[in-house]
Amino acid sequence: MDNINLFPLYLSFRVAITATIISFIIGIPFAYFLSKRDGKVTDFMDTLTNLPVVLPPTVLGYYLLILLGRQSPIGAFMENTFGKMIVFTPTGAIIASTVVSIPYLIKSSKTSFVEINEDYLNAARLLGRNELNIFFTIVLPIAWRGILAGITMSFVRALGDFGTTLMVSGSIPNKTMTMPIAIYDALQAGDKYMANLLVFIMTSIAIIFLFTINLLERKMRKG
Amino acid sequence: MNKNIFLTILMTIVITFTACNFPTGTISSQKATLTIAAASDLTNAFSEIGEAFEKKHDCIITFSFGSTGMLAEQIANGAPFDVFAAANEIVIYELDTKGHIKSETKQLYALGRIGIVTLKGSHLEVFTLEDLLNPEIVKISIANPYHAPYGLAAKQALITAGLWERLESKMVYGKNISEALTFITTKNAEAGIIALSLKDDSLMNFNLINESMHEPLRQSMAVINSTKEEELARKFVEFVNSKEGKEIMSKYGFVTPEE
Amino acid sequence: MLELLIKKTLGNFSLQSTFTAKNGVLGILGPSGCGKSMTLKCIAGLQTPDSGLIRLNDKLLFSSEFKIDIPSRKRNIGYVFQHYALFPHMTVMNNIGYGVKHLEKKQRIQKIKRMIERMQLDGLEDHYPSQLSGGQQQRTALARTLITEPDLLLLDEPFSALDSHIKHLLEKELISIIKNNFDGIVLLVTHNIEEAYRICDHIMIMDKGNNLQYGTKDDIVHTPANLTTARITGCKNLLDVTVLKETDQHLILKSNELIFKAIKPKLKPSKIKVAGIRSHHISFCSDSHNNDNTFECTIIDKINGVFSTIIVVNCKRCILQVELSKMSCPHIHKCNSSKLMLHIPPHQVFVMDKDE
Repeated sequence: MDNINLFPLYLSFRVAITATIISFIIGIPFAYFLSKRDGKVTDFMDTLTNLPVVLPPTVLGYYLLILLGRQSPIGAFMENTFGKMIVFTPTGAIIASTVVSIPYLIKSSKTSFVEINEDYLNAARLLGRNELNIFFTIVLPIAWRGILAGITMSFVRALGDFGTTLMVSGSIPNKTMTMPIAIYDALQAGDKYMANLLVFIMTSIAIIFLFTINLLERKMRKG
Repeated sequence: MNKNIFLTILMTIVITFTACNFPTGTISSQKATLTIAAASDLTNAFSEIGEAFEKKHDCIITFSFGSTGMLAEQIANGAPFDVFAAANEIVIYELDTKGHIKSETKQLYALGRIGIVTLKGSHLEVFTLEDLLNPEIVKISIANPYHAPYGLAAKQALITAGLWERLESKMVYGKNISEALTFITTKNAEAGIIALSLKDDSLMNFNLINESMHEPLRQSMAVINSTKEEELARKFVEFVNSKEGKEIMSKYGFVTPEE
Repeated sequence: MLELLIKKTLGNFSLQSTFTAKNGVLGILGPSGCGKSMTLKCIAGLQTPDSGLIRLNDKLLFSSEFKIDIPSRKRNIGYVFQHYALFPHMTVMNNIGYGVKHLEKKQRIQKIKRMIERMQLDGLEDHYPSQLSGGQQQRTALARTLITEPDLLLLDEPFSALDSHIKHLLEKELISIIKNNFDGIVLLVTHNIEEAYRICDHIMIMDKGNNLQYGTKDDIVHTPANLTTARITGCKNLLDVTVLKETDQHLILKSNELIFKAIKPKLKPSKIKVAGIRSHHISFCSDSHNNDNTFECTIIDKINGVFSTIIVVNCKRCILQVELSKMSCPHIHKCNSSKLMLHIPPHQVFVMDKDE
């Protein structure tokens, strides 16, 4: 009872929150860009965005290991210049979680951006506002529900990611071991008590989180 | 137009996969079939053993390779396997006490060995465990000692050598030995400790670790209680420990038990 | 003054619009897809013409020659969208204040308050658009635009989103609001000739991306310049005719076996023409002796409307529609005899060249 190590829980949250923030910063402008353009290049980028959803996590993890690994240009540069590794570190876990979770945010936001009536934007333009201003005063407030749904999905996905993170982070206890990896390890070791406990914690958190978001959404809708 | 082509292709695929019976499906109704759960370190060795056994007994063998822990969990939950070859002994004993296997069939079939691995072409000279202290070795990859028998053996060897505390910060863990090997082959870890059975001379330098450094990796197997092909399953277990079976096992780096 | 001379091609559609507009309301009338909305969007800078120029009060908004294309936000043009495009997440107050955010707060609030008062939106400041009636939405949209004091006001089908029973009321209201609060140029896009006639001073007819006719509303209705204009303005009787004889003032026209007289228009002389007669200009009469242009006809069909009836007749192998007010001649509605005399007033016949 006393030796329950809560580090994986802490790390999972840290990784998932950071990954969601990064997804938001990169994903929202990208989704807006995709929603505004039509064409072969955009279609291709759209397809590429959805790839992490379809590919098996291990394949994705393997790609990242090759792309960001210590022998890759990026990984070698980071290690030689800053003495920092990407793989086998929490940073690696964050990148892995971002890659697997960002498609959900992009897809959901893009859909709600596409649904915005172009007349709202035109009206705002004619009332003297520039595009950036319109994005913050019109686009985001109207699309927030879809964006919120995307953030929720993205966060929960990042929190629950196992395969990709495991490949990239090396499951080092107290360093890169996230909650899902801890659960997997406990199960593999036949430590049912630990596994059940971790599963219970994880499930409770996911339910509480989704419930809170739901509540928040209803409150905001009422205005 | 494009949509039609797409639909046609889709239909073809669906029909191929649903309507046609694959050859294995039809033959299996005539020949006896064994489904064998085996630890992933056995992948190479058991594939050959399976072929030899099929020829001898005119039957079909299918394998389900996975980590010992996962397979044991599946068996405890009623997975339809006939034989289970684990990477350690404890799992088999545990399944026995819970009544999932036929007690009298459990037997030792191999002793696993581990060794230090570096990639061919690496300038690092790593022959002994002490050599792992070299600061140029930044990451060392092993299987997760928490649940993987080969990872545990690696950790035990490092503890015996008195190196574990100094090396712990360099360690990264694969979820099984094959993933631990992936970290090495992709050059994300400079060195690692893996099973002798996964040795590939064309790819890596391998230095065996003395077996006295770790507790013996006693790999045991047994017939599953729920088997419908008990006789054939018993024959398979016997075959692994027969002269012919032992020859194949030692070819793949397993130490076979003395009579 | 607004001066426009633009060309734009979009797929198979090509727009070619040239006109000038002075203060007052100019209606742009045409069927859907004729390019009238696109014209507005080009003026507003929401779409870019391929070539040409747009000038508003000596300010060049667009010129392909000088590579000028002032962005929408700097054109100072008011635009009321078809469904008003009120920002759904903002209150009436914030919607109206959206275009004057650059003003100092006190001045801004004052301006918004004044606008709310003038648009009779008092008490609705904190309502969201979804809580407003159609008319209130329209006034909010108008207020949001007029508060920025635009040089030009564009109205895109402003009544199409409203129920027909309040349409007339709001039309009057809108016009009086605009006349009282705005003295620039107003362009109104509509596909409804009645609406255009009631609201506008001038009307421009558009079809398939071309300007067909531009004039005062009475000119447009009384002397359509071509077949399409006649159709768009609601003319139901259009006959292919040949000119039999020309006098100083009249033409004698023949269509099938019907030979009738019409006032001579100013057109290039040719034998083949089209004659248009609006259905409410044709009348029935009891005796033929004293009247010119009076012919025997047989009733083919009666179409009963709410206030009027359309009687379809065969008159010397020409099919004509005659629209009668129900009040004016109840005897015809009830009469069962199929033979009647009808009169075509020569000054109500307009003769046009055939469109190619």
